Parts: sequence; C-alpha cells; structure tokens
Amino acid sequence: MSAEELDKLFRDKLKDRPVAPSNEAWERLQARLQQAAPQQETPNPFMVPVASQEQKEERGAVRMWYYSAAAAVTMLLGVGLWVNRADIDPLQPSATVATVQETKPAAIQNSAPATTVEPYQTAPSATAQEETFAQQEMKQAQPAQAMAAVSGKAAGQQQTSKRNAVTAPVKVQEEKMTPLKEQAVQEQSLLAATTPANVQESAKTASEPSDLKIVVKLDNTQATASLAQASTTVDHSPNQEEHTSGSGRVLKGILKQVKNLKEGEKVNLEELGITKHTFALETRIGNKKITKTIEL
Amino acid sequence: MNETDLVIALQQGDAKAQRLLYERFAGPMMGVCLRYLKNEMDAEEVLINGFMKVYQHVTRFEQKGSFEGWVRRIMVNEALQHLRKQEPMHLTIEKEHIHLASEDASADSDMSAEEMMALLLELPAGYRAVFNLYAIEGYSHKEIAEMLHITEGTSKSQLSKARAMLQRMLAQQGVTIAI
Repeated sequence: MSAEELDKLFRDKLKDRPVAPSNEAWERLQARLQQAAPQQETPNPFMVPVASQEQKEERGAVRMWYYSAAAAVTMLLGVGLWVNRADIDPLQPSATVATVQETKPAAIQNSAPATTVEPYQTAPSATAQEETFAQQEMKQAQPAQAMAAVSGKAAGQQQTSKRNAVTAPVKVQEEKMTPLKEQAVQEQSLLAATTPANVQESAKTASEPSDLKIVVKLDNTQATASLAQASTTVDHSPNQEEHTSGSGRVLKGILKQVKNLKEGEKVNLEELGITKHTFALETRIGNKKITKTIEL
Repeated sequence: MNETDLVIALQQGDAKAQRLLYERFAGPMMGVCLRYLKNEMDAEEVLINGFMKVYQHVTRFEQKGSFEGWVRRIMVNEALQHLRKQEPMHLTIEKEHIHLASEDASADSDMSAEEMMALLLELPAGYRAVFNLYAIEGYSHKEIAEMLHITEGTSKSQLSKARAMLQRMLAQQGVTIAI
C-alpha cells in the first residue's frame, strides 16, 4: 500500500466521522457563553487574553531577571563572607597559639625543676654518656657557631666555653643546647641582656624544625656572673627541655603541674636553692615561633 | 437556515444561531478533536473552547470559502494548542520509533472507522498530529511546520514514521483478520 493510499484510506474513513459529544458539553458551553457575554462588549475580546498572556510572559521574564539578580547577589555575599571568614581564620589560630604560649611558660617552669633534678642524678653515673653528648655537642656546635655568627658574638669564645662545659662532669648530661645556654649566660653576664639567649634559642629551633618544640632555658644569672669570670664551669647549667609534638600527654602533665605549682612555685624554687632564674621559652607550633623570657 | 444566514445570525450574536451551529457541528468537530487528543475529556474541552472562539470571532469570518472549513481550522488549532500544553510537541516528536513500512499491508476497505481510529490513536501524539494535519486535514508540510513550531523536514520525517507505523499496524490487523 502506497503512502497516498494509506492517507486516502484514513482520510475517507476519519475526516468526517462525527462523534457525539456528551450532553454536558453544551451546558458547559452555554455557561461559558453567559460568562463571556459581558466581556463581549469589548471590541475584540479575543485580543485581550492574548495580550494578557504576553504580559504574563513579560512579567515572568522580568520576574526571572529579579530572581537571577537576587541569586547573584546572594552568591556574591556568600562568597564574600566566606572569603572574609577565611581571612579571619588564620588570625584565630595565632591568637590561640598566643594563649597556649602563655600557659606554656608556667608549664616549662614546672618542668624545668624536674629536668634540673635529672641531670644531678645522672651526672655522677654517666661518664660514657659524656662522650656521646660531647659528640652531639660537637655536631651541634657547628650550627651554634653559625648562630653565634649571626648574633654577631665571638664564635670562638663560645666554642671554647662549650667544650669546657662538655668536659665539665656536671654538665655532661646536659643536652646539646646546654653549651649554647652557657654561652648565652656568658653573653648575658657580659651584656646584661637576655636578648642574645633568645636569639640563639630561636636560631636553634629554626635549625631543628620539629612539629612542636618547647625550648626552655634556665639561666642562673648570678651564678654565671660569678662563675663565668672565674671559670666557665657553672653549677646550675641552663636546662633545656624539648617536647616533641607527639607528646600531648607531656603537655597535659605539664599543665597539671602548672596548676599544682602555680600555688607552690616559689616553694619549689626555694627548695632547689635557685634564687633568681631567667627562663627563656621558645615554642614552635607549625610556622609560628614564640619566644618569651621570664625572670623569677 | 443555510450556512450564510447562520453566519450572519451568529455575527449578530443570536443565541438560537449559536445553538444551531453547535447542533450542526458538534459531532464532526468532536471527531476532529478526538483524532488529535485521544482522551475524550480533553477533546470535549477543546470542542467547547473551539466553539467559544467560533462564537467570538465569527465576525471575522468573511463569506469566502467554507464556513465548516473555517470552524474546523479553529478546532484543529485549538486541539494543537491543547496538545502543546498537555505534552510538549517536540518531546513526542523527538521519540524515535523504528518501524519498517510493510508494503504488503493491504488497504482493507472493510475496516471500520472505529478500527482505523483506534489505529490512529495508537500513534504517538506528535506522529498523530502530523499525520492528521497532512493526510486527513490536507495541510502542507510548510503549514504544519508553522502550526507545530517545527521544521518542514521534521514534519516530513514525522509523517513518514507515522505512515510506517500505521502500515505495520494494518499488516498486523490483516493477519489477525485473516486468521
């Protein structure tokens, strides 16, 4: 069957095939007519709905523009707020770090005496350790030299003082930092200023970028003043404490000790026989480096 | 009352003429609407809307050509508008139905109008509209393209697909009838 035949078949059968609408159709049409009757007074009633439709479309378009504009504004506002918030965020951690730092000095004070105790205990026993420490000190001496150079002090004197300190049995157990502290003490005694010690400390921390490091230097300025001139040996060598970042427990313990010792600080210090101490604290958290010196 | 008098009466807003027009054209026009809309409720809605438009715009009808043709045109337009509202034409037209035309389908003149109507209603709305407009109403592809807001090529392809579907259905029908 060709297409034309098909078309003709359907056309003949269906074009004028009447289908009776329901009886209600006429009633509905009549109701519609009566409703439309008053509207027919308008010259061209058909045009009215068409116009209204167009107006509706226009209104819809305008409305869409408003919506899109509102969406854009909200997006901009949101992004702006978010960006501002991002700017604020870096500030907040620094603030918190500052607070942490404040708490830490106390903790360090607490821990300082403990560390001071340890060297006394170990000092007599470990002579073998002295060698290892000495090696460590030698290794560290080089950065210390560089730091000393940076600080603008005589490096040679510092090195000699360090070696003397290493040889001294009392100081053997002291960690790498101790020679530097001694140097710092000497410098302090000479310059009567705590800043060089801080400089050295900061330099050391910079050289050893650990995740979280708290360096505490305890300088007995009086002793150093007297002893440094007599000989480089110092009774109360500076105490250095290095807390690795993983030691959250250590921090907690320190904090507890801080709380406990806040009231009894003076007593402990007196028991230790330390009349005056200069604590140089340096903490490195992430990229932030915080240094603080406390005199007791 | 002949057609010319009826139109004149309608143009004057005569209620009796309106009733007469309805009685005369409701049946055929309902048939037209049903060819496009399948659903009887929709067809009746379109019929009423179409009559309303006829009543409102009969003043525009100049006594040229067939008044029935004019009414039918209004009905077809109304049906298409409804169809477009109901389901966007392009959606149904985009549907790809792969049906091979079977040439061996014979024109069964014994087939009743109802059976053929059923076949027609089997077509997707888009196919059915194009087939109705071209094969039954006799519009050109250009006119159909304008009426359905499609391209002439789309109209042609839709028509050929509709024809293929119908031929296939006719062939199946023939087989079942033969058995």
